[in-house]
Amino acid sequence: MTVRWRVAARVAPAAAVTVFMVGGLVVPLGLVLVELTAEPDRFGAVVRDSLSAAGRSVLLAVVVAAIALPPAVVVARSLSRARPAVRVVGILLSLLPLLLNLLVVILAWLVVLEREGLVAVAWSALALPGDPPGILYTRSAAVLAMVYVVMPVMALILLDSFHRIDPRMREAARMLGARPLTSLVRVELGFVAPALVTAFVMGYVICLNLYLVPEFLTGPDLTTLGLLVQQDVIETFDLRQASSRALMLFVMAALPVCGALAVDRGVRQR
Amino acid sequence: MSRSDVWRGRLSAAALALCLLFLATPLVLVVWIGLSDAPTITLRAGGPTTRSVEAFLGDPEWADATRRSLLMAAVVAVLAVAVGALAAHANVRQGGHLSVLAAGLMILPAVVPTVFYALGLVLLADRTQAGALSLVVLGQTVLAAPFAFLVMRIGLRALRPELIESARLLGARWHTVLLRVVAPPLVPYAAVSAAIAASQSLAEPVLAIFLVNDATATLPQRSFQGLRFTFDPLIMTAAALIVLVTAAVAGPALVLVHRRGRRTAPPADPADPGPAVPGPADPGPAVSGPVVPGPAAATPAETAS
Repeated sequence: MTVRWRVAARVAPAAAVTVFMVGGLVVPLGLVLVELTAEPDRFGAVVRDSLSAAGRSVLLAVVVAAIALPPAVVVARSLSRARPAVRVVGILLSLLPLLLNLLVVILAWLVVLEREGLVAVAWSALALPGDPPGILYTRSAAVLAMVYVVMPVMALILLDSFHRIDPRMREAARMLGARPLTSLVRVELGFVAPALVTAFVMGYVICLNLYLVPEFLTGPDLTTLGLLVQQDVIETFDLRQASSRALMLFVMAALPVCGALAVDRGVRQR
Repeated sequence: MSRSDVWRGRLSAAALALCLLFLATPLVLVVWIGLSDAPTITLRAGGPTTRSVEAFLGDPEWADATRRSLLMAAVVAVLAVAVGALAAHANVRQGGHLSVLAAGLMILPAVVPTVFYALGLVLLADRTQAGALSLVVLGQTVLAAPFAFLVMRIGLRALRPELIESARLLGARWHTVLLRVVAPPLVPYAAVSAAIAASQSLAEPVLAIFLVNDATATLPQRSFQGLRFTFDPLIMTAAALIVLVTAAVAGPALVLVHRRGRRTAPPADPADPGPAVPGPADPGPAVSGPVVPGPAAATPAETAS
């Protein structure tokens, strides 16, 4: 090969990927911003109108990520110490909600929570007093289903960090007289703290994408910003309003990610 | 080991079992009800029968949507593996600003809300008159490529450079090196990437809802429209088939990588168990910050310990 060919072969993969991602991702995102510039005065009004939906979306995402974090820690910590075969099963199960159609997740929770669903059957099988709790079409239903989606993802993010904990650190803590809870909190969770931040942020970002879950499991009580964008596009065909709301959603997702990056960088520098 | 250690171990195992049960139970129920011939969502449905699957495949609209989705999933899988492999190659084997830019662009879809991106594709369709299904394929490839990138990056990192060097020293030409030395060990990783990309394509409803009309509906879009306006029992059958197809495609691929990792990885140093999941703590040389977690969970280094 000539030198020119070698240089071309060296640069070609990165150049091809850059061209593909710019054309396939950056250009469409740029078009949303261009659409906003056509009617800049309207942006403020749309933002004001959408603030309550945005607040709901953020609150829902934060609550779901916060609820999902403790079980994610349990799963990651247990899998990191489990036998390889158990770990593979756990990882496969953790990946399933990520790979599965959101429809499957919604239907699965309909099956669990509906009037003749798993909760109702278990309630009567255990001969518990009164009627089973009506969770379906309340906010709890959406929260449960969203925890179901994000918890395994958060566990997979944490698994790497738990796996890196040197067993001698736990042993040293025990020999120095640390109680198990102290060792867990100060040694293990202290070690994985940056990953905890990342897992929480990723859980939050994924929740912002799950706007179809509250639509089907809760109803109009929990209209999120993502659903409003969808309604703008496929029902009212108001693409400018959709662009303003989509930009709000992007900012809501990007700000915590930037924060997590700053934390990560700070930890690395220290 | 003290008695309290034993109890703590049991408690930890019970908590893990409970969490895994939480993940598995809803899926088992979907398959159970989806393959029964119950007209509504009920646990009192009879056991699985083939009648529901026959009805599903016999319905021309569902069958069309399924065929279309499977075709699109195949195209997305091929494209995502190609893009992911090129990006991983640039990231692992090359340096320079362009590689860093390519890796950064690969991670970008993880933080962009899908509705924002779907709206961008709607605007692109509006301005270029591009076909809706082509744009859905493009969008799904962009969304699946980061996963392929992460998996292929692990495969490329596991590739021993001395093998390539030896082949070159023995006089092999570049295409022989590529086909005989580089490609074979990467096949399982490509299979996993393809399986995950195909699963994602079958799972992704938002792009299709935004871009595609009822005449060219995909399986997820048709299912959601059916759930929104009326309850068609075949939606449950579609969901059950999606669970089974995803498990059949992605499961063996991940187990293959797991086994290969156990066979090829060097003995693990107990003090350094190695990365289990490519995550924020192991972002690689050119990618930093939160990255999408992925199937890379079943990595050779992780499974070796």
